[in-house]
Amino acid sequence: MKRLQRGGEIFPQAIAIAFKKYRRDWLFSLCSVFSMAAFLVPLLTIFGLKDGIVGTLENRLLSDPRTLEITSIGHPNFRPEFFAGLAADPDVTYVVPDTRDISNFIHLEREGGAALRVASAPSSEGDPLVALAASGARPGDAGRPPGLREIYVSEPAAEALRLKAGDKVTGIVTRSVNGFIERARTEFTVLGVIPKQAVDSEAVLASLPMMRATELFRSGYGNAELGWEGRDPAEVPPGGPIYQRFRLYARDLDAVGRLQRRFQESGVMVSARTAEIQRVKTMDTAFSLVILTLLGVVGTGAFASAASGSVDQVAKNRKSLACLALLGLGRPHLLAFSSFQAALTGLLASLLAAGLFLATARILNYLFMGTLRNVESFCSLSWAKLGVASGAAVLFMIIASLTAYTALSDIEPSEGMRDV
Amino acid sequence: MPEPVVSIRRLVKTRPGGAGYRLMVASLDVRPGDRLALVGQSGCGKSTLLDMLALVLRPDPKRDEDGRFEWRRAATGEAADIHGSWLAGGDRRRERIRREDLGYVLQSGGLLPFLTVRDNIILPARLKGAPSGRKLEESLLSLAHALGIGHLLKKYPGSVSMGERQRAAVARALIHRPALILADEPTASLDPPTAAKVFDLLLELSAGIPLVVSTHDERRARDLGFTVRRIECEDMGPGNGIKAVLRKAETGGAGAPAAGGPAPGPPPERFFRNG
Repeated sequence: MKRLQRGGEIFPQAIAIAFKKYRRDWLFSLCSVFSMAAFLVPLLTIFGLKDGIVGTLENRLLSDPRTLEITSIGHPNFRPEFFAGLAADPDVTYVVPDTRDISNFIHLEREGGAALRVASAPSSEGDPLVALAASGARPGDAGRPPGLREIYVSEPAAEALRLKAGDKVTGIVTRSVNGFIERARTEFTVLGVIPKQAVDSEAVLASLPMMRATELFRSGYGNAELGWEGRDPAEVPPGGPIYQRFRLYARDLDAVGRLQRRFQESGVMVSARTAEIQRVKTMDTAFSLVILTLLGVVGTGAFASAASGSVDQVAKNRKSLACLALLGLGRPHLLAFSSFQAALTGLLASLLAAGLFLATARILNYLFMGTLRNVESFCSLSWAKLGVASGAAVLFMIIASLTAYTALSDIEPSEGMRDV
Repeated sequence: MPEPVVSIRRLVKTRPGGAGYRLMVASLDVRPGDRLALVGQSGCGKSTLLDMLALVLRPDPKRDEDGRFEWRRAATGEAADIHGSWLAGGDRRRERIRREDLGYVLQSGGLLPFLTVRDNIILPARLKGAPSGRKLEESLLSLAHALGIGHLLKKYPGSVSMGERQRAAVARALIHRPALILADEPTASLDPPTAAKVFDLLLELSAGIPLVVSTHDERRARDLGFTVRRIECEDMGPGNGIKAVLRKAETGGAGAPAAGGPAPGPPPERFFRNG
């Protein structure tokens, strides 16, 4: 008894008393929890629908590398320094120069089989399409950029030629000289197969030197390393290679639009899937607006309800609060006494609401199972978001209970304590 | 003679509204061991004076240098200026005095309905900083058994009788060994035999602690050795309101200004005229 308490040490006692009151008035407490949960469950469900539907659509877009791909159109001239600038751009995850149209196809021929004309595109270190071809690749080849005599083939091309990783295939490049067709042959090793959802046409990814050699061959030049006959590449006019196209991947969906605008502003015509991205973004914005509107309307109602409930509680417990004040609790302690009960209601209501939301989400996901792929969901919220929602509910209730402070400030212990 | 726990000179409390009311206390000292009974008609100001002593009701600001309202802290022995505490920043000081130095028995018990009898009784001790443990439990059981409520500790106030509630209130006022116990008509709502028993127990268990009781049972207070201080009301006529005055001790002893103690101040009648 000799140890005297400072004012700050009274708070734990005030909270312990508040907990006992909350437990004693369990029926009222339960009703408060249910009434708060009734506000929270619809809000969580709408949040879950937004995250589920928009998230699924976004993931579908992102799972297709073409969504983030930007390709140039027209015939501008790009020098190597242009690509150095793009590579340093934070909105760009990958960029590779591309040669002229004349080099963008090649024939592939398996021994004893028919030749297949396939589109060809350059590839280099960090190519997202190469990363997709990792499954089925031989150990050590997964994700490796193609060398001069290596290619990745698209799934349609692999099916047509019955190719798999590690197979050999002959590449044939043709050119017309004075009315005569000349052919150059090179044996390629298939490093991997690019899945159909990434490239749905018959195509190959080859190294940039291979693409450049093809472009020069079709312009009449030879290539000693590949054994292709023609004029000496040393006769190519000086000034370094000039590219007319590129393959570029944006960092995320928002970066696609930004990059496209910037290219257009600088006079570079590009093609991107901005319309599809815009559709999902529009849906996201629409959902967000609906949620904000509902949050405003429902939140105002919930706040009014919680605040009036707190004031009502103070009025009902005026005698007990006066008695606690007589025993030496100050206004901050009485505020903690009231706010703790409000916070407990917020916490229990958010836990109940989270449970009901998870059940609702499960039912909705089951009902719409037919439209969903694996690991996709129609209605879902991450645990982190549920945690944030719970924290917000607790904070919300505490703020609402603070309005009771006005009522508390009127309490004089001498009033009401005699009626306890 | 020991220093008074509470020392008051020229204290005034005015209640505005209606015809108005003014309570005048020219002099009041409460010393350790005092037994003081405040008597008077209903509405004259017994509870008002008790509430000011309990530091839950603000008196009028002092009118001159002779005005005084001091509370001597049990822990430090220093006299706290209560008048000054009401002016600015003294809330915590008064709260601490209420927590540590004061026991208050209300007419209806004043128990918190959502705490068990046990939790109600030990609350002041916990607020004073007593750790929950064997010592506190022993104090609780000792008091509860002495008051005959040992079997009610797990019950809630709503499920025990008024007499049992009052006994629990007495236990709550004593558990933390306060420096002063105030009791506002503690037996008024009890039948005479129960009232007598509760009063006797309050006296017995508060031995050594000054006790100020408001009561209508003046005869019983005198029989039990209380010093009686009467509050007299005077209707000052239409528009002038009621004036109440705490008279001097009628039997001498506690509550009367001690010989060699502070000056008693002007007689109440003159005090009124000046007021």
